[in-house]
Amino acid sequence: MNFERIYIKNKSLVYNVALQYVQNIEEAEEITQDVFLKVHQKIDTFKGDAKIETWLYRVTINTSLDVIKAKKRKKRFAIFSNNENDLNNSTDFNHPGVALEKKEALQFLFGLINQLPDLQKTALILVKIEGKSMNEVAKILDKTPKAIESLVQRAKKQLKKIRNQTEGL
Amino acid sequence: MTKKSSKQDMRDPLHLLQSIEQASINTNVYDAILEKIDAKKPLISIQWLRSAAAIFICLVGIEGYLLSSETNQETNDFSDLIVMTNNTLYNE
Repeated sequence: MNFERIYIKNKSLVYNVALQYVQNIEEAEEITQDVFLKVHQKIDTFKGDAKIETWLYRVTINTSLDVIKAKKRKKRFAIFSNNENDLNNSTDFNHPGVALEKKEALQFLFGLINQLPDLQKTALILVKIEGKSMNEVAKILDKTPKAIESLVQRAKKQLKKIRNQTEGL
Repeated sequence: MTKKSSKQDMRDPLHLLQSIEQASINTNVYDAILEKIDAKKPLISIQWLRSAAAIFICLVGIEGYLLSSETNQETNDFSDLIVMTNNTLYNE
């Protein structure tokens, strides 16, 4: 399979999923680069387009979660080592898919979503933002559609709980 | 004001999330990927490394064979110099 063809066909998918996780252009571009490097390494093993898409979703999700974990670790280390550069380097909300008039509200909402457990966050992003069906998400996450439905419900409940805690502060 | 609007949006968070549009990626990203791929490529190809390793193993094998045959010859020559003693008793 041709690497350039795969990139042209799937660049938007990878970039936008990464954006929903990190909400930052530079980081989403970095994730996109890493994902396509992995694609290049495994290009000989791909057989069909449908399989690539599911695989790409998985790799993008895992790479995004790894980037977020690394960022958290760096922040924790910066607090201990009192490194001001790293502490001030916290990335801003910079999501090109968000309209200006909704930026504040969505920044608040993403702030809550970012506190969800990884699986709930992923289910919410894929179902509510990417518009995937329960079956499609189930295939990507290797779970049953019922499990995905329950994950989304739990995510909603958790969001309300976090919001109430945030407002109570 | 901000808190109020975010509260209102949280009543219908699905609607808010669905308003996010698909963003298009910067064209430079593809070039950056190609650069990273080139940087990851080894300077010497694996085929060259394999053939060099095969030649090296062959040479070591030949050297080992030659050495062992030489030692055999040496021991034969050496044995010629030693006076062989007959350990059998004369009156047997």
